[in-house]
Amino acid sequence: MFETVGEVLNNISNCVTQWTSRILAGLMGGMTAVILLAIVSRYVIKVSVPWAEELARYLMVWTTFLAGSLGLKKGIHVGISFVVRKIPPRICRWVSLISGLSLLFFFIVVIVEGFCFSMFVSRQLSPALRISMLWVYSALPTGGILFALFVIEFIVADIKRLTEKREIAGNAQDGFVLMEKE
Amino acid sequence: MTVLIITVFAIVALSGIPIAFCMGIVSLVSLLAMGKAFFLKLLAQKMVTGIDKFPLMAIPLFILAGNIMNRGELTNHLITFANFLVGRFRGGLAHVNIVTSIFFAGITGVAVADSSILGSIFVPAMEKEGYDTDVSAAVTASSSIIGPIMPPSVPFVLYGCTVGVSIGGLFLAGMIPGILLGLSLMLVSYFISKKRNYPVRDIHLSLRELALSFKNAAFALIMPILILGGILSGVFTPTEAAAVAVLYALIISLFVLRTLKISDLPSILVESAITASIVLMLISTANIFGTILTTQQIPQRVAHFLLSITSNPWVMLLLANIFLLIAGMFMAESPNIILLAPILAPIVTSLGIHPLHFGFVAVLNLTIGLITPPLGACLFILCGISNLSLEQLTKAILPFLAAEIAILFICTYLPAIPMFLPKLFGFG
Repeated sequence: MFETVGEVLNNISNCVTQWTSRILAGLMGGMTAVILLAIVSRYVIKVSVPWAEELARYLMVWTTFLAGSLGLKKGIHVGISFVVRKIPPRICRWVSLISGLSLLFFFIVVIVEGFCFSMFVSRQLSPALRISMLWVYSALPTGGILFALFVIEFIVADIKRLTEKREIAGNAQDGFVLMEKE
Repeated sequence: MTVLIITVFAIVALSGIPIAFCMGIVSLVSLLAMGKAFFLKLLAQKMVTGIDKFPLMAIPLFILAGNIMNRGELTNHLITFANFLVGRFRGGLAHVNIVTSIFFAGITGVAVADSSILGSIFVPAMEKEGYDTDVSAAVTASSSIIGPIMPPSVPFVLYGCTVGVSIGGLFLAGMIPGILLGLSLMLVSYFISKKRNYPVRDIHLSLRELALSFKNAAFALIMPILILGGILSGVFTPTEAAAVAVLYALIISLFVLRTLKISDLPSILVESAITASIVLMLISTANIFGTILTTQQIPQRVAHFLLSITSNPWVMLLLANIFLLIAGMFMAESPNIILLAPILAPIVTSLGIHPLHFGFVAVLNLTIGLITPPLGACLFILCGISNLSLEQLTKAILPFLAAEIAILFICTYLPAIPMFLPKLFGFG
């Protein structure tokens, strides 16, 4: 059963990753372009663009949560790994599973609270752009959903390995707990 | 409550969950333990407001500029030019490695990027010329931390944003010590090369080759000047300077060197965003975690405890240095800067130490943490490249590490060295 669930999840997550990457390239490029535009208009046309800084900041908020989730999938977030490195792989799997579940719990709270807070501030307008703050704060629940998706993928992979009788060769490196890569 | 926070943090962090999410989980547990569901609103709000800050944007932009510059042959030109400068001395390639790291500082500002790029070039090249693998890897690892000390530097931006000191001032403070670090490493490699009888190279460079390598190396060397000049003359904020650096890198690599195609850009943008998100996610969750620590008055209690030990600024600096070196052995530099700097900086500066001076010392100290065993990130990268065990590399890196810690203490106790340039430009 876990085979099929894992496969379906994998497909969904790969598709999501692809689209998130495209959006991210746009966000990051847009952020740079907006700041450059502000500089050019300040020094060349001598007009300051009051909304440029604000827009760039909001793009960065979105960039952070979307890119952060891809970072979790790639396993590049910094963590302390010398303990999990030392314990036997079998126990490591359990640690990884429990860590995954507690992360999932955190992300669910982030999604729910992020959604509630976005609704709470939706009638508030941003100072310069005059757009609803919903557009800014919804980055958090959106990112949260991606985070949750990638964590569920890890959790399913962990359960799959735990239910398998024979020990899989290799270590827990492919889980998200060992992250001293960068 | 304090005990709860510390225990939960220790358990969660040691189980391998990335520090950014540890802070989130611990904050969540503490908010739940406080028993008021309303506080959970704080979680959402703080996570967003933490990163909704203009100065922080310098971090993704500097990373992006570095990634654009890294593509292509710029590195090779830098190496040729460094080879011309220092290749003729005993242990030539080791010196070239170090000087290239100093040049590279203007491009990346991230030590792990430095060590993986230069390591994959220099370790095989040095082995081929008869250097021992462990020495080659040790030279690369120890010199890669010069990158974050000289502008543009991601850790300095991070420190400037979290503690609230001038980013331009920190950039200036890093200039002279960065060069001193390089010189001290060259001295160590000279002695090692003499002892192990590493080759002296003949440098045959035609004038034409030299001119070409200088011209292309200059493109990379102009970038820090552009950034610093823009910031110091008041033309740009650090964030704008970073955006200009991106534009400069784009123009150079798309039109001048032509090492980059437009179609390469999307992947570079995504890669840079993901790298930047490591730091930005930390800042996001640290913003809630910091609030919770403050409600428990933990920073004040640490301050009270430290001030009860000593009120001598120089002894306090020693304590802070030792504390940070130990912290740096176990945790990466960004979480350390975010978690510890806001607690330590007010204590040390209240005793009369200049905020820029302490900022520089703290960042240098935590950056050295990247090459201290058992958990230095740069060590792991070079172990991967050179197939050495951590023990072998640790043994080889000790003399270099000692030299760097010596520079750290010189900069701590002779404030004139890091503070000379900031004072000159009116930051003192």
